[in-house]
Amino acid sequence: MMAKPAPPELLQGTLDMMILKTLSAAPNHGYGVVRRIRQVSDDVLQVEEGSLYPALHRLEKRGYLTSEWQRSESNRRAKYYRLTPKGRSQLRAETARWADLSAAIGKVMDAATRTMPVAPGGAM
Amino acid sequence: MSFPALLSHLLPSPDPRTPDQIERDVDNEFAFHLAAIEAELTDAGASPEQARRAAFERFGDPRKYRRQCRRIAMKERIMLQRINAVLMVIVLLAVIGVSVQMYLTQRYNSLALADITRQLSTMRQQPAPGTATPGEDEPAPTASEAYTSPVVYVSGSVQRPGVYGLPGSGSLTLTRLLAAAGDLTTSPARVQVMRSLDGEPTAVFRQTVSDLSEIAADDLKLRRDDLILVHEEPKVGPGAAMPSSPDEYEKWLADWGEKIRALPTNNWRAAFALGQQIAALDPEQGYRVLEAYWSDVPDADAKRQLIKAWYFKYCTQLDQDAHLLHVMNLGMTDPSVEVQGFPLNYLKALVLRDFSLDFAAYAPWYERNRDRPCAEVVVDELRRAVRELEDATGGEALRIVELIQNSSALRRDQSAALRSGLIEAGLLDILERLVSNADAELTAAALRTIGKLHADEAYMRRVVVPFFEPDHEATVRSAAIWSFAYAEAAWAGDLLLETLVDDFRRGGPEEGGDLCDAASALSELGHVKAIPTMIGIIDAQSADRTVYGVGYFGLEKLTGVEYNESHNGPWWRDWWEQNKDRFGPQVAALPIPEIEPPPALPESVDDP
Repeated sequence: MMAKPAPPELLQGTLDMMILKTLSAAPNHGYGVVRRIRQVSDDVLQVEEGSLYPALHRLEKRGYLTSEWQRSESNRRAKYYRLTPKGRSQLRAETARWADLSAAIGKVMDAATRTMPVAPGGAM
Repeated sequence: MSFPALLSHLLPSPDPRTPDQIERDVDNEFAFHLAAIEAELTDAGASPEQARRAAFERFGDPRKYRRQCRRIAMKERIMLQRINAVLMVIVLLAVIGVSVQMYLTQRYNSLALADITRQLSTMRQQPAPGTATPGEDEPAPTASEAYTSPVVYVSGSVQRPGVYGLPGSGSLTLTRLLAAAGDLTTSPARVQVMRSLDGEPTAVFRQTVSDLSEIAADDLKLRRDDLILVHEEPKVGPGAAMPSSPDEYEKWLADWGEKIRALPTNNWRAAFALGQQIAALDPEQGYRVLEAYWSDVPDADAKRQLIKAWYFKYCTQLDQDAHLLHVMNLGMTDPSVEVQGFPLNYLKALVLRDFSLDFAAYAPWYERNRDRPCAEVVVDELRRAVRELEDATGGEALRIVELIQNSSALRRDQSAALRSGLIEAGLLDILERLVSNADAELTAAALRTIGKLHADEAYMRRVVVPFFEPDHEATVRSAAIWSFAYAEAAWAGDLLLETLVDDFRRGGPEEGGDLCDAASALSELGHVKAIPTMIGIIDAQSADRTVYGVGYFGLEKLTGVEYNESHNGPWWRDWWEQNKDRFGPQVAALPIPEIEPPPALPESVDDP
């Protein structure tokens, strides 16, 4: 039996960006946010789901989100988070920064691949 | 940004929910999430038990995340609580610091008070240096008679109240007080003692320092409530000499302006003292200072005091031509009616014109005279008044006579030239005519003015003495007798004494009003030969009429013995025996005459 692969660790700060991005489509509760991230990432990005809540509360405190208790699709009371204009600006800024960062990482990785010595005896 | 906005920016408002509400919200949120996972897994075929366990595995430790959420929600509140705690500590430390400071101050004050009390006690036990040692037979004062602190003013300012090396026993007299005061003043010119008497306005005793030095022992005995004013020649401080260079002059002038601007409001003494300093400058300099900073004088009262100081300095020194009219003009053209009142009165005394009756007449009058020497203006105005009086009658004559009587030209310390000028202008002749008119008020005013003119003996005997006769109206007779109080007429001493004795023997009101005029005139003349006769009068009838009418108005000033209603005939006889040698052999040789008392009044008969 093959061991279950460990979920990749999220880079620091990316969780906030993903939450903002997820909520930019529509207001949602915490469980909905987690489910959306998993769906969009094909279950690659998995986090301890409780860790989402400190991030949500912190973003709300900073004014990027507002919250409101509503009835969910299962008719239970759930706390729905909504992106504020300030949060939308923040999302734009973080998206741009992420694009720069990933491009820079991509360049490093490309350069490393080109200069890697070939192992004696053929392919890796 | 406004201060409240800045404050709210720096201090974000805390979460309005209580900690319990926050935890409840978090728990509800977690419960929804866990239930959703469980439902998801149950739908996928897991048993409820498996689903619950798996839900917790996916969610992680709820307690940990609850703590984190709680900390985030409570962050501002925790920060404010910490700030609050720090402020409380600071306030507590400040309160403790102030308390300690107050305690130390109180302790220092107590020690200082004890020290002052001890020093005062020591001073009272030691005779003051330079003061006469009281006689051994003088009784020491009882505790209730111990000297308290007479307030001594020097040129308007309170000086060291109560801190003097006072004599430990005997009477506290003015000379002893001044000697004990030591360096209180370097050049006292005049001393006033103000005293309230029962039912009378404040009595004022004035003595020059040279007078005081001539009195050996029994000078004015002080009381606890006496107010002592020591007038000194104003000392002019640094900056008195006007510098010659333009820059230094500007600074010198600005310094005086600063002094004027710094005057406290409602403090006439401070303003008068500064006015004396300015008047003590060279007249040109002083006037420049007043003119330059007149609008900076803080209030109307201060302006009046500056005018007053200048007037009193120069109204008897007209020959100095010290801008007297120009300084008066500063007040007369001041917008404040309060200020104008003083120069109005001074001009009335100086040039005998009452501009309060016709203020519009002032400006053209000033324009005519502003560039003339002040002495020349005054002499012209005196002559004008005399000319007007020559043709005046009734009320107009009375107005002019009273103006002349109160004129600065007839002040005791005024130049004799002005008095002589008035006499040469014919004033005595006019007054001689006026005293024989039918109006008692005008006659009395004319008699008082004659006294101030220091007319010669022949004139006084011819014009004034006839009014000593008892058949004249009381006010006229009183003015005639009083006119000798102004005159330098030693020849009149015996005449006044005869009048005093005659008045006594004729009988009069109980309060001695009929005796006070002659007694006062004799004391003003310093006619010490009258002392034995005055004692004889009191001895002949020791009643209020004589003890007060002669003792207070005559003997007190002549002898320096403070008036006391218990000083009857026997008391004065004893005193005379012990003190008569002070007055020279001629006076000491005079016996106390036996004077016949006034006839007893007939018994009053009750109406049936």
